[in-house]
Amino acid sequence: MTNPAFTIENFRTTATTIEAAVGEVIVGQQALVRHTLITLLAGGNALLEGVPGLGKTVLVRTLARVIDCDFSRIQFTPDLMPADIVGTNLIAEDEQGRRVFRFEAGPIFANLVLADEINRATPKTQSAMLEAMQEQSVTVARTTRPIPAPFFVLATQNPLEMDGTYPLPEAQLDRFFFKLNVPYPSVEELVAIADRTTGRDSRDLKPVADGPTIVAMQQVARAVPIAQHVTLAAARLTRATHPDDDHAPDVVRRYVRYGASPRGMQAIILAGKIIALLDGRYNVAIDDLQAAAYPALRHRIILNFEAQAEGVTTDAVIEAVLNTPALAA
Amino acid sequence: MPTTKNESPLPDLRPRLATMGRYLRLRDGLRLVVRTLWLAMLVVVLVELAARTWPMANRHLWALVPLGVWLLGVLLYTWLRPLSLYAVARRLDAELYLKDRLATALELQDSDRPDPLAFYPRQLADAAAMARRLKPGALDWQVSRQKLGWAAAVATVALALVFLPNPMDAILTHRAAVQAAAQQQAEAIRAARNELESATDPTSEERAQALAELERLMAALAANPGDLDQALADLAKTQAQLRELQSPAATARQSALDQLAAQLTALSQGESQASADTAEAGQALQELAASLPGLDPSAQTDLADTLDRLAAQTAAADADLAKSLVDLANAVRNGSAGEALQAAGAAQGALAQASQNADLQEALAQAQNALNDSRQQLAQSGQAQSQGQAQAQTSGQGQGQGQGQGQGQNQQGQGQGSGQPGGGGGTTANQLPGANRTGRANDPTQPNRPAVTGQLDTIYAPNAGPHLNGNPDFVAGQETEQGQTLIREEQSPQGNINPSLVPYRDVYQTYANAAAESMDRDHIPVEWQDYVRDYFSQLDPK
Repeated sequence: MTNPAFTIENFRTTATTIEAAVGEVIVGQQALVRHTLITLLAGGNALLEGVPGLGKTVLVRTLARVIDCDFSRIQFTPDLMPADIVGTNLIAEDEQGRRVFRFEAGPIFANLVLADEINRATPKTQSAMLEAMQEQSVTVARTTRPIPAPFFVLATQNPLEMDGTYPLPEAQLDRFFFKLNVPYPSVEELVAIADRTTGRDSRDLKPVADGPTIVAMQQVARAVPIAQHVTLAAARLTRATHPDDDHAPDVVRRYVRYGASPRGMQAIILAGKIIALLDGRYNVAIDDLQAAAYPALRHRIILNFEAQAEGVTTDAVIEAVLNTPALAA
Repeated sequence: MPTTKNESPLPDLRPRLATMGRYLRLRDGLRLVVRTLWLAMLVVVLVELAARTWPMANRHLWALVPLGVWLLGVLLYTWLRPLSLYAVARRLDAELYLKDRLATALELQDSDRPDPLAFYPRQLADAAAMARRLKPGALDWQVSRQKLGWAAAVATVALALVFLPNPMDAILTHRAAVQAAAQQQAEAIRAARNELESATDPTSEERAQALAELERLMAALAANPGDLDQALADLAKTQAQLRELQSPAATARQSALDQLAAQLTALSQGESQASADTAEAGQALQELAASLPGLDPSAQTDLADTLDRLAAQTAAADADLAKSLVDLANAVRNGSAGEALQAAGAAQGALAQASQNADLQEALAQAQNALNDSRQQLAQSGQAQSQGQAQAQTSGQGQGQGQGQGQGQNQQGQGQGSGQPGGGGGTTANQLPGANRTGRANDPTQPNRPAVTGQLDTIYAPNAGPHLNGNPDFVAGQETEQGQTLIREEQSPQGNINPSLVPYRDVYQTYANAAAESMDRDHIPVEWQDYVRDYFSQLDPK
């Protein structure tokens, strides 16, 4: 463990403290904050989908401040190049006056990265970003440079303005641990947002954790034991999203073109472990898997044309899968 | 500090799980009872309904059988169904929202996976603490009230069917009575058979046939399941077989033989005899033959004439005996002592044979009487039950069954057949064996006419004399020149009937036999045969 002083019992306390600290800035959106925190503790990356102005940037920025980590924001545009993200070698003079290549690190070299409107960049640029997300390292001019841990990318995309965008292919979507829908605030939440953002008061956030603590928490989360029948339930759940599975519900058979990948099952289990710890338990329950199923699978299930024509969402498909009795056996 | 793996709390977890497992079994059994009770009760209802359609002995017992099987199945399911501790843990986790704590703890106990962060002891301690708080009352003991209501409704119907009167019970009672009567009559027939066996010549073929028939009848009656028709049919069949062995003129022969014996004995001893047996008669013939040398010719002629007269009297009953007497008379008339002794021996043998035949016929007649008694007893056993049934079933169903003052067996036949034909509301009793037989002389063809019989009334009967059945007819003729009486033996022409009036007791058996034979040949419709049998039962002079 990176931080030997960190104990299992501290996990829940630290996590809830981070959650509470973020909640002081982010009005409402408890589920979004909780799932973002789970993604961070699982060592994954999240894809946020929502209209502009819902606090996505504030969320990441606040989170970075609370956990005392580096934060960078990348606004994706069609002319954004991979080097603009990962960095590039520049010709510079060394101390003896010789001209040498010096690596200028891009914004990806931060603990928390906000990839804003990632679907507006070209696929080439997207792939450079996604490679860094997957490998947690960057290769420039045959030199691989690791990205410091913890590394957490929070990408966003606007579901409304789709013209001139480059939707993420399924293989790249699969690399996101969670896909989180950012709901529009309620009236009460809007009032609270107005009170907090249009007055003179400003929140003075103080860090409640640090990068090593987050890494330690990530390692603790992976050590949570899981019973065989729970793992089996996760596998069945993932398998049931495929239309050719014996236990697949009719909705899946009718509307799903391709089901969730094994990464989906991994995400469910890992998220389930963190949910269990946040709940004060030392084991994963099937309920934990079901709680993680929506954000972990909604971007991994590919619907067919009929589903799109009828307005069937992946959340409806997941709900049907979760209600399949055979999965609980 | 959490417990370490060496201080595993599992010893506390397993007994608790075992206890909760027993409660789970009990709860599952209770739910199974509620789910399936209606089905078991439905089977009970079906059995009871079947018992109302077909006669079923011990119907309540049969109705309890499916209930018992169901109960046994429930018990076996409850206590023998495999339910491992792991399954108990899974079910408790799911039912009590324990978030898979118990099942995970059981699995981790035997796990050898590395646990550098000591998660396992923490999880086990957490699960054990949760298990200690488990109470049986926390289980869901609710049962489906709808299914319970169905079961109660079906059970109510079943109880109603159990306690409501079942019309088939009367039939079963009737069968039991008939069966008991058949057993009783089998014993009575055994006594008659033993009597026949002891009182007759063991070398007689007819005797062997009669014994075999009686044996068969005894076995048939002993095995009778309560079927009155079958019992009566068996009786009738045996009676017909015995009837074939009986001689119609047995009574006349016996009378003639007794008379002959008395006269022969009187002839030998010189004084009249009221009665004498055939052995004494045979001995008398031997004495007469032996005394022949001491008789003068006129005495010999008188003796020969007497013997001829006795032969003529005996000819109708026993031709062989008459022939031997004629031979003896001729020998006496010729004065040949040797021939006379030889003829007397032959006549003595014929007498003995006739006596044995008479004994057999008498025994057969007694057996027939016993069978008649059995028939009446059986008919009365079915009749009593049928009356009970008829009373139970005809109440409120209109008039119509025959009413009359029945005269019982061995009473003067003063039955008044005043039954009303027809009538509304048919009864089951009418269709039962022995139904409507109330000991009255009801004539089914003339229900409104009184039937009057008398034991000693004279009644027309065909002549049972020598003309019948082609018996040889001996007619005394002129004396020959040698002083012998010419005997002309001829066959009587068939159909030459000499009407006469005789006591009906003498002809009863003939009529009864004729009726039985007609029934055996189906000349009488089956539905009337019981009436015919009852009719002759009432007329029986015994």
